[in-house]
Amino acid sequence: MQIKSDFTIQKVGNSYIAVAVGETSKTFHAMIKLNETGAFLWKKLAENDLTEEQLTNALLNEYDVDRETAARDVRAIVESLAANGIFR
Amino acid sequence: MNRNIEEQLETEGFYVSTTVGWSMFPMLRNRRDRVVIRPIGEKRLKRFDLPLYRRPDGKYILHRVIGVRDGHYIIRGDNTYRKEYVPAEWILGYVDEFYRNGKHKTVQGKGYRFYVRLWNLLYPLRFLVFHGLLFFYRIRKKIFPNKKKTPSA
Repeated sequence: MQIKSDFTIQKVGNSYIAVAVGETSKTFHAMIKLNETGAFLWKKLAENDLTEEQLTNALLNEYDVDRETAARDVRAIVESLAANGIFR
Repeated sequence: MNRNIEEQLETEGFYVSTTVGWSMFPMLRNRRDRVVIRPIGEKRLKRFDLPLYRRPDGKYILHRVIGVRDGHYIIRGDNTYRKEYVPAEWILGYVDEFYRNGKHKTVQGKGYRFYVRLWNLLYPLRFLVFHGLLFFYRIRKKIFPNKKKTPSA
């Protein structure tokens, strides 16, 4: 999965906020609020078409967490992003 | 824009949005640049501040303060030629950061402040050019009714 190119992310205060730009912004008005981990995964998914497995590995390389926690975080974030319809 | 901007401003303390329309060009371009809006609270706006307000018809507008009066503001878009008189109670928030071409800028930035002053200083000239062109197109249309369409005012 990969995030549509019509989304962009920025840091505001302590959180990361993703919003739609271009054509998508005509129908998508919400702000997607992400934490540090969410923003990290978002950036990975904006650059490349990745599987949950690959995302979990990316998270393990970056942060000091066990595989189970990383996989759970990936699952939660992927589900919430999919629910918002932000994948291509 | 959004149905629940007021709600998001209140719960999050900010609202991020892609800007729509060309009325704030060249600073902000239609569906390309983003603004970060903070709730107005007790803040009193100054000249050149950029408030987000809601007209009684429900439309959200982001234009620039060009004059401060008692209880209301005189407001105009950077790319518009008409003043609007906006009561202070219409104001929901103000821009304090924005992203142009993906680059983060604040309203305290030197480049931005230079732009604001220069753009406002050039207003009489811009006004003349705009109305001059409009006049030219109208005349041309009268003489050559079948020629290309006029730009919208």
